[in-house]
Amino acid sequence: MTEKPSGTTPPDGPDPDVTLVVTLLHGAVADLDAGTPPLAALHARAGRERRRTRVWAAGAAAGLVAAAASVVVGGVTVLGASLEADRQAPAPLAASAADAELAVPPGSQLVAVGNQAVVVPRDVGVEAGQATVQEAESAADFHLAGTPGLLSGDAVPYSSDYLLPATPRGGIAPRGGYAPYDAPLPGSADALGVFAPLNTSTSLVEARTLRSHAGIPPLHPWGPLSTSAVAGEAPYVAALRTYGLDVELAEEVGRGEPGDVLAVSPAPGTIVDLGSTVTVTVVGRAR
Amino acid sequence: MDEPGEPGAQGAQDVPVDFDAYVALRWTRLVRAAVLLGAGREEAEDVVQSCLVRCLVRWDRVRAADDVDAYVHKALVNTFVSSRRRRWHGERPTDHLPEVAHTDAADEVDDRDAVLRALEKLGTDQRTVVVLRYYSHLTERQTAEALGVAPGTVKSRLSRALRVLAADPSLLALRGAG
Repeated sequence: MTEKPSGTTPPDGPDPDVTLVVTLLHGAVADLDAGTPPLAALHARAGRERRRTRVWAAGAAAGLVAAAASVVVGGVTVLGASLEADRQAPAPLAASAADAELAVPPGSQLVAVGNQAVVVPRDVGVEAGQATVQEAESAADFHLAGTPGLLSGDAVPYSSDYLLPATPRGGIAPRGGYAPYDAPLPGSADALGVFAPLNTSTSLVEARTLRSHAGIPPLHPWGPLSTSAVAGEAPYVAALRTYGLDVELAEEVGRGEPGDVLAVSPAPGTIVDLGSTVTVTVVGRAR
Repeated sequence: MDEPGEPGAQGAQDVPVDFDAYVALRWTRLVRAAVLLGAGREEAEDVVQSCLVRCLVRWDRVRAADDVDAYVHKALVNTFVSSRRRRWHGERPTDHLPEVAHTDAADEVDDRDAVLRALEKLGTDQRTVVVLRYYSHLTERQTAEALGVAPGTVKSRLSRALRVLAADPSLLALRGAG
């Protein structure tokens, strides 16, 4: 990356010392690659900052009201008790941090599978329940497969063949949104697959690790649940527990082998607090 | 990557009022300015990110300011100074800088090192004014506004800084090489 030495015309006239300094300053950093502006990260951080400020302000206001009330009551003991209660109260910033991890810039959405999440433009039109997060060599690749209403037939398996030409693996997503991959996909002639490379330096996508929440994963690892059930509940249930969720099993009569997963509640794509109970409905065992 | 636009030369009326557009225009220059102020390569990006987040939180106010560039550069300088206070690990100023190993293949890095060494010899105020004026190309008025000093102070700091830099042997060597 080179920099045009914009200081060829010294701001203070033809002073040779000024000319030299301008030239040297520009030359010194001309090869320094600053990368792409991390706009999504900036917006996310600003969102967290605004939220933290609001919580702090609300807490301060509440504290002032409490202190004023204590003074009106006039008891030193009451005031002391109030301060003690403040010391024992949960720190507001902790709650704020938990909320902040869900904050997204305007026009964006948070899509989470387990504890991995990405911020993507809202107009991508993806349901989180149809997405998977996969680890690649250098960055987490986020496979958004099966835009609602467009995916039919069998689920689309993950494959590097579905990389979006405009957003090569590990590359920078183009500004302005993601173009759909418009080639027919196996088993789904009208399917729409979008592959977005995850790189924290891109301007459109931000990767996050959720520490207080988890996204309910899709029942099928590559797309929406088709007409058949997911074979074997154990891996799915194990995944939920790995994410920090509690699992409650329910049985129903249905197609498939006993133990196959029929449904999950909350629905795939829902982001819930860690420790929440997720109900997994499986095919009942023969009695 | 060529950097479109110079703060001082463009004039405030040409500065994008949209945050994203502003960042797209100025990102590289701000990171490089942070390096010249004394930040390491990665630290520079952190500083600029923090600076821009501060600005974004109150972007309405920034946009309404007389001069967006002056405001952002003021935030940059303040953020850098704050980060340095937090990261202080007990370094002491010294007249004698340690020798750094170089390779012949790293001429550009050598040049940068020479320039950064020369800037190290300036006081913080002088270094800052040199970077804002001669790298970021803020006008005297913008520089004064960014630093919260009078334009006359900018002039006197620049004058003293130029005398120091002009006499720096490593920069004289670069001048000779050029």
